[in-house]
Amino acid sequence: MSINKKAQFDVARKSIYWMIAGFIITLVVIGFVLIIVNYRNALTEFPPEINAEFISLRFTNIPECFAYQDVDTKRVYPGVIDLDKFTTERMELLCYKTNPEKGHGTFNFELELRDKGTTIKTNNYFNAATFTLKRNVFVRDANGILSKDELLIHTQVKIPHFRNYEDT
Amino acid sequence: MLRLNKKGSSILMAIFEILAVILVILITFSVATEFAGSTNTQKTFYAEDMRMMINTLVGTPGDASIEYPKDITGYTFLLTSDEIVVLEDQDEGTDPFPVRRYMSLPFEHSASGSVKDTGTLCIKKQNKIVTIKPCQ
Repeated sequence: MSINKKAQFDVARKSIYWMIAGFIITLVVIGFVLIIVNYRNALTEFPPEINAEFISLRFTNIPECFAYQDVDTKRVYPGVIDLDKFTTERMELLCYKTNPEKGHGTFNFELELRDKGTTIKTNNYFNAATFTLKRNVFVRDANGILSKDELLIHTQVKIPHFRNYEDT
Repeated sequence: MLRLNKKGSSILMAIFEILAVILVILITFSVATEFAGSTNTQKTFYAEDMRMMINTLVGTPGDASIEYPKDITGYTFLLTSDEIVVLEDQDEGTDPFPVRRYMSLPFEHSASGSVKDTGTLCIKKQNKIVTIKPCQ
């Protein structure tokens, strides 16, 4: 099959047109897909404060974390922090630890007792707090003396580079 | 030998253009259809709900249980001490796009269980062990 000169020119002209049109159509399709993906992500997005609030319940409520537990009666006092327990080692060993390699992609915390000035953090906390939760607590020191304090829970939601860990 | 004049080439280009437009429309429709039929959104909601409920149970001293107030027919839930997995029940094979949510449990706490082919789900924490099972 052969085509004459006029037809050849027409085909060549159309080819340039379709090169440009093809590029634009590709961009439009990719844009459409991105809009849908963004929409779906927005639809399933949960406020991180809610998740952080639920996770951080353990810090003040259970004896494995920092809640005071009477040695004799074994009764747990939610909202009363045992200052002897309030250590980074305990946080990592008994309370909350994220995956050493991929844990940057999930919630990490720095806990600060405002009046006592004591601070502890989880294993993948890199001072990139997104927000701070506040909780009124009592602190029980080694002598058994109770004092009022405020627990500041600095929350690092996820470091963006690692966010795919949560989203898989 | 077949020779194509200007009119012939125009018809050829018109056919090509129509095919290209049809292709673009088909791609757009297939993306939209896949999105409309996808259960990923629902699976994500279930997985996040589960994670929040388990974190609440773990953060509560003593034993407790929760009945999930939604119909979960058509989905499978798998729970381990490290993660929650939600899959859609499929006739053939397993769901290729499960939704996973990571969690960290305190010392001596553990989590396990699976729920499938049922409409109800209960989460129970007893002696620091969190389990999921169909409600009775």
